[in-house]
Amino acid sequence: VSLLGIAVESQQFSVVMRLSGEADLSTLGQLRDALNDQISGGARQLIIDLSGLRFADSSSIRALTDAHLALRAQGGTLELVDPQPNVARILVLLGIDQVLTVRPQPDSGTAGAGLGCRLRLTLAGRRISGCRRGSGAQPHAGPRVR
Amino acid sequence: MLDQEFGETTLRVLRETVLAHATDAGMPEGRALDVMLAVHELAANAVEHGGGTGRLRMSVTNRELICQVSDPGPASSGLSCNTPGSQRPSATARISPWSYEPGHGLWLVRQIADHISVTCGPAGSRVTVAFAMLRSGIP
Repeated sequence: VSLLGIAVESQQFSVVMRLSGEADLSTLGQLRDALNDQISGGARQLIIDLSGLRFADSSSIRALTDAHLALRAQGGTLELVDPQPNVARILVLLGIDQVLTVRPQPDSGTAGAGLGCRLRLTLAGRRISGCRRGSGAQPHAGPRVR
Repeated sequence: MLDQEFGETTLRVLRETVLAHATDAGMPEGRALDVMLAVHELAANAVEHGGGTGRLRMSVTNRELICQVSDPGPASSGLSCNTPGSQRPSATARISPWSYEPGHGLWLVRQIADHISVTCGPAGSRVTVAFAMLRSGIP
């Protein structure tokens, strides 16, 4: 039994791929196959719903960003939606939120502006505090120079 | 404290074990998840590039939690031992704004861990990462 669940739902203008469980090296082929099916099928807007995914490693994130590049090359887009904190943390650590769109909720209507900030503030961990983008946010002060 | 072998199909068990041990050792939840992620990336690297299996040894002192991941491969890709024949990034990878490399997980580990040391040799590779038990930044 695979650790990773993949459910694909075609909508009028987009395809939603819901990932659940855990994505690691053992599920990498399964994930790449599912993404490649959409790319070769000519998908234009691929939405990856991450709300059910508890863990993703760097190889799985790389499969997603590879798919993003392939889709972009054929005029399509790939969005990541609603990552759990554990997955959001690796997205931020790898700088993925700077490379492709990550939205907090499906159909939220608003673009991802400020998400990176929200993720940074809600996630535990050193170098993630502060907001690198988003207007009006106070930059996190570093060590005070005495 | 912990001595466990792993392979591709046991990475999940390894993650759960590491998370439980890090939490039991007194790591705050967010940091325990970091330890789990770092060990997973090292273990996945060992599985993918270091011969398919590896071994985790984990110990804790009052100052830090130390995880040592070893594999029998000549040199895990992404490690800072420049052996001939190490994998190069693919052509597709080079066009990315985010610089992908096969050993990208190692880069991630360097961001998370407080200390990392890498030993490579004909008998295999060994990566040791340490995490401070008390969070730095508190005066």
